[in-house]
Amino acid sequence: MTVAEGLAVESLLLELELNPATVVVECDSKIILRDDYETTILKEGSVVELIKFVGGG
Amino acid sequence: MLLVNESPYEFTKDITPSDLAAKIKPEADLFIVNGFPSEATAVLEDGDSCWLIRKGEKPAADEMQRLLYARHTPGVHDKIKDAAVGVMGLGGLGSLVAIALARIGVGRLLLVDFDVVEPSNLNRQQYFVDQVGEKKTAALKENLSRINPYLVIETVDAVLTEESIPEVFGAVDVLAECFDGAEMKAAALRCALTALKGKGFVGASGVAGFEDNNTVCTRKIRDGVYVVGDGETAARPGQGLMAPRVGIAAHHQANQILRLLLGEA
Repeated sequence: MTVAEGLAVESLLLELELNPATVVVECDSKIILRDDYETTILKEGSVVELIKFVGGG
Repeated sequence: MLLVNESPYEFTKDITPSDLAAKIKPEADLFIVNGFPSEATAVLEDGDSCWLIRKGEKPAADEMQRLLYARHTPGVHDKIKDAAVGVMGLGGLGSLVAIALARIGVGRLLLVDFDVVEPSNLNRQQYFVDQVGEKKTAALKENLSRINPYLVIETVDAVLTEESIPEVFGAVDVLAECFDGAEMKAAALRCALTALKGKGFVGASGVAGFEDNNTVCTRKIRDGVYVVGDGETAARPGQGLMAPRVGIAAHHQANQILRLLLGEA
């Protein structure tokens, strides 16, 4: 998908209407720690995997 | 040859459960032959299996071991009897995952929760009315001990965080993520993929309501890392958590944990 230049992981998740706290993010084969969502900037060609969770157990 | 309380015993003609009891267990007052209750005076045949039971008596540790050896596929018990599984959250998923693992004799369980048993838990969680108000850790340990008194069960009564999970669960072989909240579910998976990388992990997401059974599946995330559920049905007003579907998911988790312990996944 195409995103704005300089987009942070946090903003990507919000754009996708996901609650960032409920998503595990891997970016270019690296798991992004929750504290780094706002400072991790996506680059041209970045491969992002999102694993989202819903509540209940 | 006979099998008496799962141990071999030499067959002789016209031998009865009563004869066996006289030699092995005089206090026995119930006799199970080939899986069915039997008269004490029934004549046994070569190859029969006979259990000599005293009603209400707890089986000895070695009897319990033999029972599990006999019931499971060969090789299973040796691989699980010393295995350690950590259960994060002792609600509908965690209490049932722990029971399934205890029943098959997974030897070491680490149970972690901060909560107490509430009346609203009883529609799906493995507690009893007379346990309302007890700590879930203590109540579940008590229930598991009634299933198998020879397991090593450790409990931690605490609120887990992304920071504390690696410390608390550093020594287990496989992690069962059984949290209620989506944020902690994500946090636990992050731990499994970073600080606890290399351990088996089976989480859950999407277990509410009464949607189709077969939408609950076990999805591989990475080698040794799985998430069970339909991924979609969140617990929310109008879509509650109920024993049947939560139970399907919990048993997916328990079976996947067993597969990991056996080296099958």
